[in-house]
Order: sequence, then C-alpha cells, then structure tokens
Amino acid sequence: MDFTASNEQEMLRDSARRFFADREGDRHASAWGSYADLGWLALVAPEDAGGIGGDIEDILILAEEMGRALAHEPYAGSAIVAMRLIDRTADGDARRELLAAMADGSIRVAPALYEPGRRYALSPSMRATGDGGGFRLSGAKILVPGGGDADRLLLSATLDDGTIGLFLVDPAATGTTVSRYATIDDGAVADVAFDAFIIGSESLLGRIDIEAIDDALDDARLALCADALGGLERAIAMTSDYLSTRSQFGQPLASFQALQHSLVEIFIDTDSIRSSLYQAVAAVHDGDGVARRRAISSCWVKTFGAAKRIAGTAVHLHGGIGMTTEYQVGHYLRRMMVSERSFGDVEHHLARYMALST
Amino acid sequence: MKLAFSDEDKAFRQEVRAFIAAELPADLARREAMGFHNGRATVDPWQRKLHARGWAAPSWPREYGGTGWSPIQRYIFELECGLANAPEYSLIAMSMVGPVICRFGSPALQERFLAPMLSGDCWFCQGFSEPQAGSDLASLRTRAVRDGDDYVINGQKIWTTDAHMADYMICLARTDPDAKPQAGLSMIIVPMDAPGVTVRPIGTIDGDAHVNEVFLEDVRVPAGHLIGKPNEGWTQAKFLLGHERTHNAYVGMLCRYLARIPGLIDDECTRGLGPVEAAEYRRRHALLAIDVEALQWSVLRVLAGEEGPRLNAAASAIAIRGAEYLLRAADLETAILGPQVIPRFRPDDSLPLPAGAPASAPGRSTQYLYWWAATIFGGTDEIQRNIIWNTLFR
Repeated sequence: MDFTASNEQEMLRDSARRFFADREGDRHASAWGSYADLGWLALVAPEDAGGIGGDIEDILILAEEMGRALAHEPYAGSAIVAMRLIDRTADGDARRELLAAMADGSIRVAPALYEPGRRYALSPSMRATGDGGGFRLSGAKILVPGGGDADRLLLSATLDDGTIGLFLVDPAATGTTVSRYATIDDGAVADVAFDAFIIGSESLLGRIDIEAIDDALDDARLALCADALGGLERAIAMTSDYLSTRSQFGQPLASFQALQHSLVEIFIDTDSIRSSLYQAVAAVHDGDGVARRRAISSCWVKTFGAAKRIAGTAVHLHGGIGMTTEYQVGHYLRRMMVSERSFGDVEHHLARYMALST
Repeated sequence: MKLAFSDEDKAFRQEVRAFIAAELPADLARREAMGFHNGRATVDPWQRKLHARGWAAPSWPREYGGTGWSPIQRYIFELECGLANAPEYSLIAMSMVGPVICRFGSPALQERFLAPMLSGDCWFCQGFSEPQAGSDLASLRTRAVRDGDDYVINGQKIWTTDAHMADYMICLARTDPDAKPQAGLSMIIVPMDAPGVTVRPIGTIDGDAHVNEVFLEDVRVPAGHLIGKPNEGWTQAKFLLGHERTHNAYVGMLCRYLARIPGLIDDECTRGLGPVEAAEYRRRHALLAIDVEALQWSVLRVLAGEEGPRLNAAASAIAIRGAEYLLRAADLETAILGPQVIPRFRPDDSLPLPAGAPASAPGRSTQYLYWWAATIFGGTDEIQRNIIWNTLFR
C-alpha cells in the first residue's frame, strides 16, 4: 500500500497545474491540440498503438487538475471513452492507425451513445440496416460531448441480426444533421440526427455488447469523479480564503464557529470522495469484473451523492458573490450538475451497485 | 502510488481468519454479536488464546510483547475480528495504557504491569474525565500531592469505563497546581483496591452497565507509580489518545453490521416485513456500505502515513464519520426488526425471549442507544470539527 505519488506523477500534476494556470482567462478556447502536445491523449492510448498506456492513477491525476481548472475539453468522452471503445472493437491496422491519430490529436472522435428519451440506456434504438455493401443509419444521438468539434463520431447502432455495431462516421457528410448547443456549465455538446444516411461497410469498426460498452465507460466515470474531486477541493480552498478575508459585524467570517463547522463538514465529505476514489482504483487493479464495476459505482454514488451539496455549500458560504457568474466558485456547482448525470446518475449507479452486491 | 494490498497482507488476512475460525468459541461470538458490554469473565478465555498465539497486544512494540505488526496488519486484524464477532479485549489496557507504559514507564513499572496485562491478569481503566472537566480536560482538579515516598490523591473521576472490574486506574492528576492547566499534570497508576477508592456505577440510557464515578479520598500510592517524569501527563495523555487514532472509525464493527443486515432483512420478510419497506432498508444498507467503503480507505490513508501534517484533521474526520455511521447501522437494524426491539432485553440468557422475538433482537436497542456515546467520548463531534478547522483552515 503506497499512497505517495511517484516523481513522474508529481511532474504530471505540476505540468497540468501550470498549463491551466497559464491559460486562465482563456478557458473557452480549444486546448485539444495542447492536450495532444502534452501527451495527455497518448496517456490513454495503448502502447501498441502509439500511446503510453498510462496507469489509471495517472489519468486520474490529470482529471483532478482538469476539474480544478474547470477545463471544458471533453477528455472523459473523446479521449477515454472513445479510445477504450475503439481499442475493444477495431482490429489490426485500422485500430492501430485510428488510435495513433487520436493520440497525436490529428483526429478527434466524439462518442455518441445516448439517445432521446432513453436516459442512460446503452442498448441503441438507432438501426444500421444492411443496404447493398454498406449500411443505412436512422435515428438520433444526443448530448454528444464535444460533438460539434469532432472530426468523427463513434456511434452505437443495432444491426439486422440484433447485435450492436460501433460505427465511425464523418459528421460533415450529407444526411447528417449536427445541432450544437451549450450545457448549463458552459460546455459544448451536440445532438446528431441521421436520416437514411448511407455509409460504407468500412465504417463498421466492429461489434460490441452492452457490458463491454459499460466497461469502456468505467474509466471515464472514475475520471469524472476525480474531476469533481479536484473541483470541490478548489472550491473549499476558495471558500476558506473568502472566510478569512470577508468581515461582517466587525470580524472576519472565519471567526464564526457555525461557518467554520459548515466548511469542515464539506471538507470531510470531499476528503471521503478521495478515499472512495482510492477504493475504486484498488478494485481496478485487484478485483474481478464484478468487484471492479461495483467499486466504481460505489465511488460514483459517494462522489455525486455529495458533490452538489458540497459545491452548493461553498456558494452559500460566499453569500451573494457566490451566485455570480463572474466569481468562480459557482461554476463548480454548475459542473457538478452536468457531471453527475453524464454516465449514469446516482440512482442508476446505486441500482448497479446493489445488483452487483447480491 | 500503489493502491493495493500486498500478497503478504492477503496471506496475513487468511492467517487471521483461520486462527479466529479455529479458536473463537461459538458462544462467545454469539454473545459478542448481541452487543451488550462484555464482562471480564466472558472475554478472558479469548484473551488467553490471543496471548498464546502472541497476538494479545497488536499495538505494542515487539520488545514488550507486542506483535510488531505493520499498521495495515493491525487494520486487517481489527477488521477480521469485527467480522467474526470476536470481542475486543480491554481496549483501554491494550491500546492505550499499554503503549503509554511501554513508551514512558520506568523499567520497574514495565516489568510489573506489562506481562500481566498481556495474559489478562491485570485490567486497567482510564481516569481522565471529571465532573468539571469533560471536553475541557485540562481544567481537571484531582490533585496528587507528594508525601514522603507516596503521592496522596484526592478528587473525583467520572465516565470511567470498566472501573467496576478493573485492577488499576491510570489517573490523570494535577501535581503542580501553580503551573498552566496543561503543564501541571501527571499520570499515576492507582490500585482500585487501595483505601479511599470508591466506585459507583452510573446507569446509562442503553440499559447496560459500563461507566462509573470514581471517588478518590486520601488515596496513597507509591511515588514509583507515577509514569515517566512529574508534570508530563498532558504529553502522555495526548500520546495515549492519539495512539489508536483510527480506532474511532470502528471499521470492524461497521463491517460486522453490514455483513449482518441483509440476513436480518431476509428473515423479517418471513415475519411480515413488506416488500416496499424491505427495498428501502436494502437501499439504506447499500448507501451505508458505500460510505463505509470510503471510510475504510480514509483509515488506510491515515495508517499508511499519507496524511502527514494533516494527520490530526484526518483522524478527527474519521472519528466523526465513524460515530455517525455506527448510529445509522444500529438504527437500520432496529428499524428492520420493528416492534421486536421494544423489550428491555438483558444479556443474561436465563431470561426467556418475549413471545415471537427472534434471537437477533436482544442487544439491538441497547447498541443503538450506546452509539450516541460515540459522538461524545474521545472528543465530541464539535471538538473534532474544531481540531479540523485549527489544523487546516485557521
């Protein structure tokens, strides 16, 4: 059992913190190219496909910093989910070349898994019907992270034989409608609709079952938990600073025990999220499939069962200034609202946890 | 960073499991699971088995008869004992007083007390709190005055767990009335059968009997019973209270509850518990399990020394959550059992169970009521929050 970050991990954390500090004020410009230059995309890609094949710990260190910095690049979706799915379904040269191009940033792929009116279901109602040598796609995908900026969409669709295929399609092709819109936390997603869109057979990367899709999401789920953790720790530090600087009734807010204890309470909850993340990482290394999934759902429930209350309390302790868009602390609350329902929500994961516990 | 138990740790866990499975008497495990406060006669046989195995004192240094286990091994041992309903043998002696005597005691005190503590022949209680010194421990008034080769002690202690069955008390007393409150204190070992010592039990709301008032009137003890040097009692008390920082997480006890609750729900479903209520109780159990999984890793972080200067804050956070989760666990059990926990059960098997009450009912109400004490002893939740604030945010 060793909780100490290695030198390499410290360097990774420092370089990420420096990178985000340098571009503060410029949070909305795309940094995907820089992510590639820094090796953060290669970190997720497997070694035999031009990647680094980094440990989950390394990915989570980065994710924490991204959450702290309120970074908007869809790292969990376009790096982790997309690469994990492609790694599992594509074969041979196609797999290696695509992953290598994603790792160096030359191709950005957005995973399109969720559909209208189907909450977090991963079984696609979108159909890919055989048509000549290729397929005819009909249906829609929603809330595709970074879907408006992607070079390719990675979609799941049900084939004629009832199995699920993963397709790589060009969002600029005729027959595809991409509607881009902002999320409540200022991120960018897109809905994509296909109307009898004809694609060649080479677009089918391979077949996959729902369990494998769910597994591909699991590392991204941990990354979102780490992202939340980084953000919440920053929100607490900001709140602590604010309480010592702001005076009312002739004394610093920090002198009031009710406010001290309120901050301490959200500190305890945030620190428990770190512990929960560690138990999940241990299960990733050590557990079988069931133990791993169960531990990741445990972490999700622990994290997002508390995240809004923690960030909301940080807003509350700031008083009115916390409610403003100009001030950073409230942005953490907005981010928690989006993250907590990105790959299944608290009830979804509690149900998964309970189903895996019997 | 490597977040996994080593192969040695896994092997150790198996070794502990095998030992408990082979040696823990079934009737003792049954009594322990009920959750009433154990008498000395009940747990002595278990202590003797641990002693024979060399496992009597997990937290003492090896040269004094301790196990020499790593913090992680101690954690595994506590967890496995909790899961298997093995009783905790005199926490005060083994986890608190023992380490203080090892660290600060004279060779004469070590020789006299450590071996009998290991074998179960010498039982200690801890005399810290007083009627006017609860959270504000440093304001305690009990005085020890040097008189020739003796100290003469006068004062009153309260909430003294196990004083009614202890052989000795480790007594925190004021030896320099002119020093600052923390500076003038010493720890002195007082024989409970010394003239002038009076023990009066205090009835507590859980219906069990475990705490006492202890009156000290002109109690004479040899000066050699003072641990270490005069007036370093505050340092020793902090060492003592800090020694088992992670114990207050009660992970062993919490895992015992978590393991037991699904079976209780299933049983009650055959005795009229409806499916909607059962589903709600299963949900509460899962939420508690998720919280405890995180708490276990908070404990491991402290044990592995990850916390560094934040150690005090981390230990306080663990204590707050440990007490909270115990209450949730015990409350959930009483909820599942419904009206069957209303009777005032006694630990004495000679009393018949009320009509229809299952064997799982005795002790459930008592334990729930008792765990409110965990929000108070060892520093109240509010004191713990103050410690966290002062350590991290002040």
